[in-house]
Amino acid sequence: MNPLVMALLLVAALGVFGVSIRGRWKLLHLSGERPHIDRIGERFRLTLKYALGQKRLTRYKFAGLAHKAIFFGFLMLLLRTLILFARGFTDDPKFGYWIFDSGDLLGNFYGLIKDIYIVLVITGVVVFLHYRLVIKPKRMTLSGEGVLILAIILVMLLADVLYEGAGLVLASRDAAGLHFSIWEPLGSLLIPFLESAPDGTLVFLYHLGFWTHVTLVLIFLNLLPHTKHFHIITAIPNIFMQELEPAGKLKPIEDIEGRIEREETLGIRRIDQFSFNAILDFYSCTECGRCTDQCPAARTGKLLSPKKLTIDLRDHLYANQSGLIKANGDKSAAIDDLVPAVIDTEALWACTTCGACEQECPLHISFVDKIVDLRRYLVQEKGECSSTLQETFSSMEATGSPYGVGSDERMNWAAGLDVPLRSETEDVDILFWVGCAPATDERAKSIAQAMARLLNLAGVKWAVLGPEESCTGDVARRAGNEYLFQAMAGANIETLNGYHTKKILTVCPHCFNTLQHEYPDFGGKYEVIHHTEYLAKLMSEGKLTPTHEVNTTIVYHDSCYLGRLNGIYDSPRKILASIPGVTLVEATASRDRGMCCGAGGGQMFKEDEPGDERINFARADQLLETGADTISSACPFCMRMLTDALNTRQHIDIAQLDIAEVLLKSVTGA
Amino acid sequence: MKILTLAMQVPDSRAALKISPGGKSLETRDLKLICNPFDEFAVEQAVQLKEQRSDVEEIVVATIGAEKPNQAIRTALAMGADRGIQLCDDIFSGQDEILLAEALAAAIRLQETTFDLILCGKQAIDTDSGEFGPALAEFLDLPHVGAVVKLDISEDGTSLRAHRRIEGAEEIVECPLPALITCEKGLIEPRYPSLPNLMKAKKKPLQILAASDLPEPGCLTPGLQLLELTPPAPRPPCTFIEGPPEKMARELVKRLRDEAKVI
Repeated sequence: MNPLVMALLLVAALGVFGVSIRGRWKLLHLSGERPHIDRIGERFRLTLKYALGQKRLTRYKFAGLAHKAIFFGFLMLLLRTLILFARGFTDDPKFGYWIFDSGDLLGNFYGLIKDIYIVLVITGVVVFLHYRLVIKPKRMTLSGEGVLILAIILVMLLADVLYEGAGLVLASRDAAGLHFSIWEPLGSLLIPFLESAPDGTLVFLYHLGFWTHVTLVLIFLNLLPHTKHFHIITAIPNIFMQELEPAGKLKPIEDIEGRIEREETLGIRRIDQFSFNAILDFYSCTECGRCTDQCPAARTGKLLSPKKLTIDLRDHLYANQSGLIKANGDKSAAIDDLVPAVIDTEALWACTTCGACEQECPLHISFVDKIVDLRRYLVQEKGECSSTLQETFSSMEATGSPYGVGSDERMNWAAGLDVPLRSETEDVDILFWVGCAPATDERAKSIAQAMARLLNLAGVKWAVLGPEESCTGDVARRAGNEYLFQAMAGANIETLNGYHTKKILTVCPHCFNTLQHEYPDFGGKYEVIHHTEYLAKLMSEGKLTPTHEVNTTIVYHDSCYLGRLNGIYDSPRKILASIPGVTLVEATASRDRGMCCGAGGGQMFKEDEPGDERINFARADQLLETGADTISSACPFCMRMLTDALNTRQHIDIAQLDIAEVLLKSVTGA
Repeated sequence: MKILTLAMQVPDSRAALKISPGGKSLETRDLKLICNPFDEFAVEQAVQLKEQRSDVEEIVVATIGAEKPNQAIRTALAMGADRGIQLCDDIFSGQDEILLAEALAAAIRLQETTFDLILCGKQAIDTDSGEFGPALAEFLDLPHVGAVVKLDISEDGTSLRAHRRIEGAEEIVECPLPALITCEKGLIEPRYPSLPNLMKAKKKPLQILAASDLPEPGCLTPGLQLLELTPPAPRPPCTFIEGPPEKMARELVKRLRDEAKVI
């Protein structure tokens, strides 16, 4: 076309792009932490599934399908753009790197494929424009930026079609032959409109199409690092370098006392302390808002929005880019504390750590670890948290239980039952880790009692730690008090290892998650089983048989720490379904889309942050909509939260039973 | 201005208490000890005065107890006190607060510093006697304002204005400094000491004094004798009333009238 213009365009565009990328690249390295690149095989598998396979996109069906069309379209059309760049340097209108030249076999074939994908991308763009301009979903950030980018894509593609159509007509005039080409169907469609145009007009349109296309591609490229469309570049690396640890596991702060001595921050105080992976998360956010759409805090009108958290951190990062790069991680540089200047304190404390946001994010952005890191700094270095949480921490320090119930009362639940103490029992197959709520909370005690009866009926060799057990520390950890958590974990592991414990049974998903995934970091490696799985196993072995009818309609509420974070959805349902008389119904929001009860992340022990509604009330309403007369759960915290909601709503007609309690009824008939 | 605050050590009210054989003291093994919550108000008030005013030179915190340093003084130093004084002797392990106040008064007189303001809790949550503050004021010959819920120090640092909680009302008093204040719940919200501050507290100066370091230690004779400690009777179990609402209500009223005799 015109080598000089083409060269100038490319040099200018790539130069500006290089400058943009250089700054963003430096920001990635502020913390000095290296990105995750271990377990390469697994990373490739996940990248295939979630990046190329677009697995999570279609959790929102139509938007997902439209995105798939654009994503695959872009992949396919990348070659076309490279071909056009090359044609800028040559006079050969058919040039295609010698392999894809128009008229050749592969060139023709690619031409056809290209047109099919142009149609798919345009369809996707139209669907997206419909979302942005007509449907306007609340979850999305409806910015001019989004529409502009879509418009650029649309014009870019139509320009290519125009270039091709005009080219076909011009070529036919030279050859004076048939000009319609099945290999270039879109361009051919324009022939009837262009056929009668004079040569001069055709040449103009031919050039207009070409230069519009290549210029828009280069403008588009330069918009990427400054807009949410940066994800076009960062998404695949972000998915590749995602956290591979279990979803419910938090990373420890190593050597807390040493860090204090060296005056290193505990948790995260400033933006430049975020890791390579965290910053890549910020770059990758597309502002689609699926995270916030599923967030129980956001859904009940709290100030927290996971999307806003990411965007606010990203914008703060961009706004301070030059200062941050100059400071290069220097602790003395003047950079704002993130809370409350960038992240609102109320938002930070509204998170229940339920993981709904992380499960939804198509780009595998993490939120919970960032929120906990921000809490860690506030709690440990500034001593800032609600007074009820402070009270909970000191209860845990004083009594080993967030409820403030002393170890001497930890066996009260077992009065009148045959409950063997580990310290007095030799031959133990499984240690029943009772947990603070089942051991001491008036209502939850009955879960521990039901479990004890079932274990005895099944003839299991079991025991409990009794007064030697204390809180796993989950509440402290998720509320930011890592130091207290590590102290409690250390003491518990000493007790457990002292008894050479191998298998642990829990009735609390929080205990389950912490013992299973978090204690190994501190030297406590056990096989941990939640009671829903264990009871299902005892039933399949014929050791427990539900025989008596329990005539009721049950809706099962999924605990986040059991379901979403540990993938246990089926066992509790299997148990309920096998009980004679039980009709099992599902809430609209169930399984992985089931909403949190509002207790996780330390919320159980603090007041709700201000909002329109309390989370447990909203969840109770969803469950009541099913018309069930019994709500069944497998977590003492969930039960407590739902009970509070039902009591306040005066639903005395609704029963609430743990899976173990329902099963015991059916096994014994009592 | 120099401020002295108190941080007495008491058993955590949530911890399980065990009485040691002999029935005259508590089993201290595994017993979680904390800073008396009312004293935490005093420490917090002192620290906030120092943060707000330029004329507060030093906050000294005093405690009494055998364990060196005890949890209470560590908490107070972590909250922001500058240095500590701990009276440490077997003779101080009893419950006679008049004796303890007399000993602390002697220790205070030993200091080179004179204090313009002494802040202490209204009472210790273990004995609940509330004698200590007023007794200390008497031994030091200072005016004392008790159960303060709001405290203002005059601009020039020569007098104070305090709101006291009294039966059904609040009393506002003024008093020249030096003076002793006892702090009531509602005065201030104590901070949760941060981890770095807890670590730094270990390095702050702490003066340990035995009874023999005090002038005329012989005068310290207990006037109060502890005879016996007994645990309270266990709480009777909770009774659940079941059935339809009307029946439950009727049953509840019946029991409240006939069994509990409260209506």
